Amino acid sequence: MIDETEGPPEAPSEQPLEPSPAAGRDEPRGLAPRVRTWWRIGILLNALVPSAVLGAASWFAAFRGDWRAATGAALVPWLVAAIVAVRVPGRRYAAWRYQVTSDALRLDRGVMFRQESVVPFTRIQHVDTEQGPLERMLGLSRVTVHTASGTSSSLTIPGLAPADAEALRERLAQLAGAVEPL
Amino acid sequence: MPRRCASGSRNSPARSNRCDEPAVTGHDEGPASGAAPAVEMQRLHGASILFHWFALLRSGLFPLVLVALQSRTRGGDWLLYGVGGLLVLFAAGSIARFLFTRYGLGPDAFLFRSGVFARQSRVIPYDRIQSVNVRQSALQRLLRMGELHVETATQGSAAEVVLRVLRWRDAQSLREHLVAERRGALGAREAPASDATQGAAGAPVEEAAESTVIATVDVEQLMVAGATSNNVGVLLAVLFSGFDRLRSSFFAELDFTGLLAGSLVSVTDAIGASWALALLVLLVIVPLVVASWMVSVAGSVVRYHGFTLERVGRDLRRSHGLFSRVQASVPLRRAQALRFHQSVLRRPFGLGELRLVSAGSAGGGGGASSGGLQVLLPILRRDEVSRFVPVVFPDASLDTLLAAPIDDAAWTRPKPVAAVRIALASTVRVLLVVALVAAVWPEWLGRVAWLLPLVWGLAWMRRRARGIAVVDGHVVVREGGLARTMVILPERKLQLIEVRQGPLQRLFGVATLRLTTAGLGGDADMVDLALAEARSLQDDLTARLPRTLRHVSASNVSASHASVPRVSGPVSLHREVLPDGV
Repeated sequence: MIDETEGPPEAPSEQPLEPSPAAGRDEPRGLAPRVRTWWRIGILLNALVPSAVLGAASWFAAFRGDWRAATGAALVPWLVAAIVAVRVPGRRYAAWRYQVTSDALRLDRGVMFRQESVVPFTRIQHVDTEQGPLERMLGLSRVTVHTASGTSSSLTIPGLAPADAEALRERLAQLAGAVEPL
Repeated sequence: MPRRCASGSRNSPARSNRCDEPAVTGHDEGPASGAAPAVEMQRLHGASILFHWFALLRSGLFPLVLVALQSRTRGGDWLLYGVGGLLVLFAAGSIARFLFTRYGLGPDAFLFRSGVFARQSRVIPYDRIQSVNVRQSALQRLLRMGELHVETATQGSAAEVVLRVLRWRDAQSLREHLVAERRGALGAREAPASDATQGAAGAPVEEAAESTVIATVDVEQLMVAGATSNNVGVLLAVLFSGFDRLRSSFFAELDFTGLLAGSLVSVTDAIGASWALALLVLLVIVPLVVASWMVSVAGSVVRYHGFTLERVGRDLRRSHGLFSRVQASVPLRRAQALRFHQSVLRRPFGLGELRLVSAGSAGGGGGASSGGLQVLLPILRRDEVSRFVPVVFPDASLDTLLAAPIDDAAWTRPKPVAAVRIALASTVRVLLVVALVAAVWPEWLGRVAWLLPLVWGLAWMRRRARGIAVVDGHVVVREGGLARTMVILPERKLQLIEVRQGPLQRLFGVATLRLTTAGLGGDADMVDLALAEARSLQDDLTARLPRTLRHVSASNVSASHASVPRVSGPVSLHREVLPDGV
């Protein structure tokens, strides 16, 4: 199916982060490869509701109890989701980079819509790590950085090994230091 | 009811602002809690019972009507008992609210308690007060009453504390007091760093709250503002669509394109014998448009009558209103950006509206603010903007930049091919609409073809109007097609700097530079910069941001010494969030 070895050369889970704030620039890092599995499951789960709706609609309205047509209709969203799940997460994973530079956190991401964000440390309000049940099963965690910005006030780095996520959170919290009052 | 509490525990993450409910209930007169010194808590003015009762009546109109309807089926007694009972209930509620609402001026915080069953106790440290506004509705004005709104930087839609109602005099003196306390609190915190910052003004702490009028707007200008406000355009569009519906039902033979093009000749040709239509236009639509215009003019005059912009100490204060007075003040240090907008109708006259974006503010109300945007001047000439910039950002000298035309070397502009990108994007949009229309009225397909050159012209215009310039520590972004917007943001206020690139933009090697500040409406997008330019601007701006807070003190933003290291929260197990789709 998918070649699991594709993506960035460095595996982030190998080297623990240096907690010293004086460490200066880090190399850009990628996410944990397992994040692709998480994305795939998420994409597949997205098909659940459309499939149910289409199935029910074709059963009750369009084909009047024709179970074959209903099953076929219900399968369409799954098919679409499967194609997306095969094609997208790998590329999304390959596009994801985060980097702790000397004065800011950089996030580069997006396949179709590229997004390169810079969060200066002085602008970080607080940092969270979060973990959903599925992420816990997969051994993943995500770091959310909150700023005081009016529109896009939080940025999330998904799919990190929990130890990496916590180290990154501690490091960013330390680097953030005092925040300018609004 | 939201039970937020504007607690200012400075060394905890912002998220913990939802502070624990303080156990301050029971007797208000007694000592509030063990440590706090007794603060004299005051009640609102007695008339607030009446005002609250009226408000309840207004919101309770529906149940009242229901009861009244019931009475028609069940006999007259029901009316008496039902309506009477509700009125008494409302009155009891108003009295209880009055009895349980107290406010007080603590040594370093403003205290507010309210709630009959769910008691609520708010403590707002003076230095956390974002703005203090007094307002007066027409009725309140008649009774010489007013209300006081206290806002903090919490991103919310409503003020944190609303004192409704006080005697107008008291409201004003309370406002003065709160503003002075805030200045004192901030001054005390900043005092060690501020010796270099206060060049012109005297010592910040004892600085008297003397006010300087910066600008006033007279009735004539307000009438111009009303006449050029876009509401008229919207109304015209509505009228035309209504007119079109009339036409299609009564005069099916009329050629619509002629009408849309505004060619009077073709309209009269098409009308032919349809005198009724001519009459309709003359007797109904023209008066309606004129009337709506008048309403718009009157509305502007009523809302902004006697508009005065003052500088009081380190705050900006605007006051205006013919019937309901609004006095809103914003601390200058909270200003995040300035936004000058020229609507389609105003641009030909070189006019526009100047707004201030402040951090997280709910705004001073009176319809003159939305999100964090507050009207600084409802109408202003384009060439006067540069005079007002230093009022808000004293270290900005943008006169030459703002006077320079967009093709001046000072402005970094989108790549010329960007016009093609914009044209392509809008062509796709137009085609989508056309497809929708054609699905319903296939015969229209040919007639909308003339829309495309129009859209392409607009694309060319929009590419031409865009520009970004970084001068003197301030970023200015201009954009727009028929309407124009200009955003001025100080570099030091930038929160997040992003480079974004969609699929179409990648094709043309361009990207969007997004600059955000802390405040809704304080964002500026510079669209279609060459990718390399966008990236280098991103790097430059990031590198110049203050590394530590002490660097900030060279500006009007006084540095705070709240250098308490942040401790991030514990690992929170959130609900599973599915990743976005494609």
